[in-house]
Amino acid sequence: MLDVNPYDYDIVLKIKDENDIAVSRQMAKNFAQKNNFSLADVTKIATAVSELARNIYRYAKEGYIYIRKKEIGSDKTVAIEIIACDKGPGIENVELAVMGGVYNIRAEFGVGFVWHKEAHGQL
Amino acid sequence: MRNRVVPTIKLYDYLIVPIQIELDDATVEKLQLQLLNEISEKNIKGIIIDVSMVDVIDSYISFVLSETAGMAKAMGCYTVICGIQPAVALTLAQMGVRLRDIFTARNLEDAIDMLNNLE
Repeated sequence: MLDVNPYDYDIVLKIKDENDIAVSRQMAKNFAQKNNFSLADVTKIATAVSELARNIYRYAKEGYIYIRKKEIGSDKTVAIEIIACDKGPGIENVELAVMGGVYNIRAEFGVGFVWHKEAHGQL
Repeated sequence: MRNRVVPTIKLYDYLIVPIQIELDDATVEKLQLQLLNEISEKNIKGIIIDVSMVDVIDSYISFVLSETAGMAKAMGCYTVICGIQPAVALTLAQMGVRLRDIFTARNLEDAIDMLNNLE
């Protein structure tokens, strides 16, 4: 598991049952709103967290989501860092999964992943 | 009826479903079952799902909604989703989510017009 110090983060969410997906979505939404993100960004962030939480619940049963505010670059652009952490089975071929190779199995599962890469630059 | 997660309104042959609750996975699956039951029990020819109060629709929720539309279609019932918020539309489109089997309308009036035209 990734070495993350929970004290560095503004929000730490434990994902253990299905209800936590909706809770994490709501928390992420509030956090983004509080940091003055636009409505479009708030929705995207909440959706991303929702997808991550679902992946944790589905494939690893339990895990954590860490969220914090970050200032990047010299102009101190405000960003939100989201880390999803679990001890799941892992993805055999990350490149394939991110490229949309999982699409065929059941349409909706691949979609979340592809988008995370685009929106956040990394998995 | 037991297991009703969303209160619905029957209007002529149509069923109006205003979603005003937070949709989690279990709820949306219950909603699917509820709608299918209501189609057969109330002899519904068209379903209108109003999501104007829903702030976040992720890939699974949209998948279940369009899956429901596919099931309803098999039962001879059209499904129209209306009132998708701009930010939600933007997010869904950028995620590459496509709503299959499901018609979309701007608002409730448009949705009813659309169903009238479909028959």
